[in-house]
Amino acid sequence: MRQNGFSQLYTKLKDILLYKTPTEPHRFVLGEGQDDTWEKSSSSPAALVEKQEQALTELRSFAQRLAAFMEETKNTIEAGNWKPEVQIKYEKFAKEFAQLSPIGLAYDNSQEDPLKLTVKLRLSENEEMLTRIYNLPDNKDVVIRKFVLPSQPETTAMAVFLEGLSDKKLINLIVLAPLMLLPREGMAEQGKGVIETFINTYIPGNQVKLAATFEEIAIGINGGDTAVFVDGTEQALIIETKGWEHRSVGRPEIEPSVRGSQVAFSETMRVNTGLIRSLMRTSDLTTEMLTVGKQSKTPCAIMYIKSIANPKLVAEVKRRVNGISADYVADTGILEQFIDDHPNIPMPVILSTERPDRVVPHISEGRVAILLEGSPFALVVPFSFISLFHSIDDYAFKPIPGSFMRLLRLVGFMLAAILPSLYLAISYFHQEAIPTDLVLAIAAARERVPFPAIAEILMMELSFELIREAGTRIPGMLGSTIGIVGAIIIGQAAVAANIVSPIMVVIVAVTGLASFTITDYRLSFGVRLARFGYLLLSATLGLVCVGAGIIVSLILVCSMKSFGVPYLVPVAPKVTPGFDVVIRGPVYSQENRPDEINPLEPKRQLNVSRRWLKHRKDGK
Amino acid sequence: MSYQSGKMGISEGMALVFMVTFVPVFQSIWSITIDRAEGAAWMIPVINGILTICVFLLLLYVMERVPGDLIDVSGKLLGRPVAMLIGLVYFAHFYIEAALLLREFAENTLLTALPYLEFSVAILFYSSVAAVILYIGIEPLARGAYIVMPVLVSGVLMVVIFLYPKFIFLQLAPWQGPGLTVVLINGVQVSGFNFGLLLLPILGRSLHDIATIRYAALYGFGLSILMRVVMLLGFTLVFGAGAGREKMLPFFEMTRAVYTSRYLQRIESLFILMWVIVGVLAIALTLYVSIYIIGRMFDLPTLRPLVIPATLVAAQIAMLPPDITSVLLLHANLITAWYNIGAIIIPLFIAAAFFVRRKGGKKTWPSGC
Amino acid sequence: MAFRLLILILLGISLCISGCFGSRETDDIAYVIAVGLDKKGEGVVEVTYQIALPTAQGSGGQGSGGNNEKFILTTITAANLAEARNLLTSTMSRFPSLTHIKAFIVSEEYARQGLGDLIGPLMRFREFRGSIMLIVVRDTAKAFMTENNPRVETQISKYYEGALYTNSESGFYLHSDVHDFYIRLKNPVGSPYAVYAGLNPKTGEIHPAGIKVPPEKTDEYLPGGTARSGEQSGPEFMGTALFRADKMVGTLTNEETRAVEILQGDFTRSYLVIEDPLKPKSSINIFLRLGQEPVIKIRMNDGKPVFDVKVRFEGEITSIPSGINYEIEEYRKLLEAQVSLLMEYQMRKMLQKTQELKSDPVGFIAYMRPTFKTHGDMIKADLPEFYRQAEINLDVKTAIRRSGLMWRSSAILGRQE
Repeated sequence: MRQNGFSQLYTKLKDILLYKTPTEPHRFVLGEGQDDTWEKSSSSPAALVEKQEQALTELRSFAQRLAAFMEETKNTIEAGNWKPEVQIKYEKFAKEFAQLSPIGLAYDNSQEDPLKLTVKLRLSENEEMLTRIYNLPDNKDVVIRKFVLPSQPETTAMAVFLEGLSDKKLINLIVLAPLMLLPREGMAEQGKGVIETFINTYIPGNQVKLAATFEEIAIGINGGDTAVFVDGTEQALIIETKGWEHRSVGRPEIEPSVRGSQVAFSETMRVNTGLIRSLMRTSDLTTEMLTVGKQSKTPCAIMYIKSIANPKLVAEVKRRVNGISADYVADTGILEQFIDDHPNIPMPVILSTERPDRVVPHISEGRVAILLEGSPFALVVPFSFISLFHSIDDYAFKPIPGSFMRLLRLVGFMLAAILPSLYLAISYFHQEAIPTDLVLAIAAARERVPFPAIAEILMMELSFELIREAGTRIPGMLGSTIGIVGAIIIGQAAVAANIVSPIMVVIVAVTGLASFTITDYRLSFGVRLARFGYLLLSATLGLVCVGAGIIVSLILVCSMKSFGVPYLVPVAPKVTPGFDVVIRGPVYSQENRPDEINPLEPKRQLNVSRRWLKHRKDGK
Repeated sequence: MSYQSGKMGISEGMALVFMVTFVPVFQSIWSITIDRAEGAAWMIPVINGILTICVFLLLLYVMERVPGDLIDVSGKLLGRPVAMLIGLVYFAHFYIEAALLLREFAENTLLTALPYLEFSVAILFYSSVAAVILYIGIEPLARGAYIVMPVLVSGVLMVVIFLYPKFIFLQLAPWQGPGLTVVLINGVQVSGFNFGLLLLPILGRSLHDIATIRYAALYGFGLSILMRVVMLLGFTLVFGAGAGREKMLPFFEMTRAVYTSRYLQRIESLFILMWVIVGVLAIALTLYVSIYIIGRMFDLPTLRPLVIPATLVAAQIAMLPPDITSVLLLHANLITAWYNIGAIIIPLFIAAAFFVRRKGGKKTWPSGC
Repeated sequence: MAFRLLILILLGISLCISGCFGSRETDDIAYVIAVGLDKKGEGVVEVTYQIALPTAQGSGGQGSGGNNEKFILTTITAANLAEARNLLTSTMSRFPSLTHIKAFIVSEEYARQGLGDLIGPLMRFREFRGSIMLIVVRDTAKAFMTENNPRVETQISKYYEGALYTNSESGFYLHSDVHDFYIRLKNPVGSPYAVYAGLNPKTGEIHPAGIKVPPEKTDEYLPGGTARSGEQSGPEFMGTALFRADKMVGTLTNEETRAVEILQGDFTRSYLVIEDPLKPKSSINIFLRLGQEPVIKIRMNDGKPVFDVKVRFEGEITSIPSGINYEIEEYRKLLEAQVSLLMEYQMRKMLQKTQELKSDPVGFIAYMRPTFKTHGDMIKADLPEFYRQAEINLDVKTAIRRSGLMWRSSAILGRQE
C-alpha cells in the first residue's frame, strides 16, 4: 500500500529521530550435525520406501514396453513381413529381462555406491546412474550429449564428458563427428558387435577401450575421457580426449645450469614422461601407472629400465607407493615424505629434481623415477648423499674443472655448517688460536658493541634468514633488489650503529654465500638447522662440544638408509666407487654402474670407450 | 664361520681397530714409555705390535678351523664355563678401559681446552655423547670412524711435519736407548696396549668372515702401529727423553710447539676437534664391546636397554680415583700387567687348547653353538 | 616420548645453570705481550707487564707514536710470577691473558743467579708456551721495556715476533726461544743460550767489546756498545748470553755469535767487511752465505773427543773500493784465503771462549751421543767436561762465485792516491 507523502515524511522523521537497535547481519556459524555426527541418510525408512518405489517403476515400465513389443510382433507376424530387426529387438528384451530378475534388482537397489554397478542396457537407466554419481543437475561440469546413431533401427547414444578437462574440439572431431555422420548401410547389427565395430572401424581416437563398470567409467570421465553409452549395449566406450590447459615446458627455475639443457618438467605427467622418453629411447624403459590418494586418485608413474634396475627395488617402490592411504597427495614433496625412510631427520633421502636431464642419467644407472600428476618435480630413488653435490655442469665440463666445482661445493657445504660456530668457539674459549694482530683487531672492533658475541651472531643469522625468506616471497623483479638492499644496508647500518662488529658481518655473509652453493634446496634447510645447533653447542662448551656435535651428526647421517642403500655410500660402507664421487673422472673411464644399487648389469661402457683412438692397420 | 654373517666389511673393521688402538696417542702413557726406553722409544710400538699380530694370526688360524666367534670357539675348545670366564675377562678389559678413557679425556679437556669447566660436567658430557652414539648403533659408528680416519692420520702427520724446524736428530742416539734387552722386555711387557685388536673376533658375528677379520686387523692395526711410531719419533726428536718424561700430554705439547711463521702458530686449539672426536668414538666403542659381550654371554635379544646403565656405572667408576697421577699410574700398571692377559695370554691359551685337542683326535668341530 | 623430552630438558637446564664454563668475550680480556723479570733481593721479583691496547687497531690510522697509544706498562713487585699475576688482576678491569706473550725479558743479574727456578716449572702452566722468545738484558728489564717504543711497528707484538726472525739477515744474535732453552736444560744436546740485548744510550759514542785484529775491519760489540743516535728506540739485540746448567756464565759478542750460527748451520746470510789483501787501508764487502751445512765428525782419541769440522762458504762481492780486479782468478784466490782466514779466526776465538766457560752453544755435545752405548752411560758421563777437553779442528774454505752487477772496475779519472 503506497503511503501518501505525509505518512512518508512521518516515517522518515521517525526513522531519523527514534533510536533503533542496530541490526547486525546474521553471522554464519559452521556448526556440527545434530548429534555431533553426520548420519548416513540412507538407513532411514523413507529411503527404503523410495527404493522400492523405484524398483516398481522400473518393473512396470519394462512390463509396458514388453507388452507393446509383443503387440508389435504379433502384428508383424500376422502381416507376414519378417524383418530382422524384430529378432534383434527380441534379443534386447530378453537381455533386459535377465537383468531385471529380482535378485539382480534387489542387489542393485541395496547397493549404496553406484560406482560398483555395471552398465545397464537402457540409456535412461545409465543416465540415472550418472545423475546419482555426479550430482546432476547441480554439477554443471558434466555434459551429457545425446545423439542418434544412424542405424537401422535407430539407436540413441549419449556421450558424457567433463567440460574444462577434455578437449572439446577433439570430442567433436573423433567422437561426435564419426558417430553422427556414419553411413547408414554399415550399421546393421546391434548388441555386442556394435561397440566393437565402432572401435575397429569408425572412431578415429588413438586410445579407445571398453568399460563395463561405472567405476571404470567414472575414472575415465574424471580423467578427461569421453564415455559413450549406446542404448542396448552393456558396455560403454571410453575414448581418450584429455586436454586441459597447462603450462608449457619452461626453463628450470631452481636448478639453473650454465651448460646443459634448459628444459624443465611441467605439471602434466604425460608431458614429463614424454620428456624422459625423448632422452632415453630404449624399449626397455618401462612406465608403470599407480594411483595415489583415495579421494583424488592422482595418477603416478614409475619409470625404470627393466634390464638394468634391480627388480627388488622396483617391487619395494611399488609396495611403498601403493601402501599410502591418504586423501589427496598434492605434490611430490608430500609423496616423498610418505615413502621416506627417515622422516624426522631433515636430510633428503630422495632426489627431487625438475630437470629431465638429471633424471635420465640416474635411470640409466639403474634407479627408479617417480612422477606425479600436477607436480613439476620428479623423484629418483635410491639415492646417496654424494649425488646431492652433483650437477649436470660437472659432467659437461672436463674432469679437472668438474672436480674443482664439486670440491668447491663440498667446501661450501662444510663452511656453511660450521664456520660461525668455529669462530664463536675460538673467540670465546680459545683466543690463543688467533694471531695476535687479528685478536687485537677483533677486540678493538668489539669494544663498542654492547652485545655479547653469541647475541650478535644470532641477530645477524636471524636477519639473514629473514632476508632470504623475504626474497623468495617477493614477486618478480623486486626480489633480488630487496635482497641486495636488505643485506648491504642492514649490514652497513648495523656496523655503523655499533650493533654488530664488522667481522661478524663478514662471517655471516660468507656463511650465507657458502650455503647458496648447495645445489639441493632441502639440504640447505638441513644445513641451516644444523648451523644453529652448532652455534648453541659452541657457545656452551666450545670446540669440545662442536667436535662432539660433528661426530654425532656424522654417525646419525651414517645410519640413514635410502630404500635399502646406505646414505653415505660409497665412502661408508666401502663399495667400488666408480670414479664419480668427489673427484670426477673422465667420462671415458666411467665403466661401471654404481655398485651400491646392485643393478642387473654392472658394466655400461667398454674398457676403451673411445674407439676412435685405436689405430687401424691402414692408418686411417 | 658363522651361519649368519654380519654386515660390516673390511673398512669398518679396520676403522674400529684403528680407533681403539690409536687413542693412546692422545693420552699420557708415552711419557712413561720414553722414560723407560729413552732414545729407542719408537721401537716399543713396533715390538709389541709385531708380537700381538703374530699371536692374533695364530688365533685366526684356530678360528678358521673352528667356526664361530671368539666365545663360541672357546666354548667348543675349552668348555662353556671357561668360555664364560674368558668372556668376563674381556668384559672387564673393555669396561675398565672405557672408564679410564672417560676419566682421562675429561681430565685432558679440563687441562687443555676448557680450564674453567666443572669436572663432573665434563664426565657427564662425554658419557652422554657416548650413550647417544651407542643408541644409534655400531654400524654407523664404524662407518663414521672410517670417514674420520683419514682426517686423523693426516692431522697427526701434519703436526709432525710442521715440527720439522725443531727436530734434533741426534736425540735418537744412542740408538740402543737403555740397552736392547731392556727395550725388548719393556716392549713385550706393554703388549697390553693392543688388546683392542681382540675386538674383531669378539664382534665376529657382525663381520663378514675370517678373511675380513684378517685384512681388517692387518690394515687397521698396521696403520695404527705406523702412526704410533711416527708420533713417537716426532716426540723424541722434538723433546728428547729428559724433557719428554715430564709431559702430561705428549700430543698436546707437540701441537703447542708448532711455530712455522707468524701466522701458523698456536694451533693446538684446532686439534682439540680431532682428539675430542677420537676420544668420543673410542669411549663409545669400548662401551659397546663390553655391552656386547654381556649380551652375547647371556643371550640377550637386544642391547639398547643396557646402554644407559652401563654408561652411568662407567661414569661413576671414572670419578673414583682421587687425582690424575693415580689414574696415570693405574693405567700404566694395567697395561703392563693385566691387559696382557687379554692381548696375548688368552689367545695363546686357546691356540694351545686347539692343538692339544687336535692331536687328541678331534678333527672337526660342528658349527653352531 | 614425554619422558625423553623431560630428561632432555633437565639435562639442558643443568648444563645452563652450571655457568658459562669460562667463556670470555674478546673485549673482556687484556692481552699481555711481554713480561719482564728483575730480581729485587732474596725471594722478591719485580715483574713488568706490557699490555697491548686494542684501540690502536680498530679505527685505522688514528694517530700513532707515543707509548700511550699502543701499550701500557705495569710493574708489580711480588714473591713470584703467580703472585704478580694475581695482583695484576686487581689493577685492571679485565682478565689478563698470558696466551699471547711473545717475549720473556730477564735481567742479567737474575740470569746470573740462575733461571732454573723460573724456566723449569714454567712449562707446567698451560698459558705459557715454547715459542716465547727469551731475552737477557744488560740493564733491568723494566728500563728495557720502558725505552722500547718502536715507531716503525704499529703493534708491539709484531716487533717481538719480527725480532725473532730478523736475525737471519745478519747473524748477530741467535733465534732462541723458551722451548730450545728448556730442551737444552733437560737433555744433553748442548748448553742453553739466550739472546743478549741491552739499551743503547744513543749518544753516538762507540764502545767496542774487543780489539780489531787484521784482517778484521769492523769492531765487535756487546749490546749498547754501538755508536748511534736518532729516533730509533734504545733497545738493541746483539750477542748471546751463555749458560752452564741454568746459570749465566758469560756472553758472546756479535761476531762470535755469528760464528756460533755458522757452526750450527743456521747461518743464512750476512755482509762481511774485510781488509783488502793488496791494499790493507781499504776494505772489501762480501755477501757471505754457507755453501753447504757444516759437517762435524767425531772420533775418540783415548777418552778425549776430537771434532773435525768442515765449513764451506760462498761469497758474492758487493763492493771493491780500491778498484783492484778481484774478480779474476789469481786475485780471487787471495780474497778467498783472506775470508777463510778471518772466519776461522773468529770461530776459533769463540770456541776458545766457550770451551773455557764449559758452555756449548753450538751443540757439539749432541754429536758425542752416538759414541755411548746406552743412555745410562751417557747420563753418567760429564759431557760439558768432555767438551772442555775436546780438540776441535776447523777446515774453512771460501768460494767467491759472483760479483754483483759489475765484473771489473775502471779507474776513477783524475783521482789522487
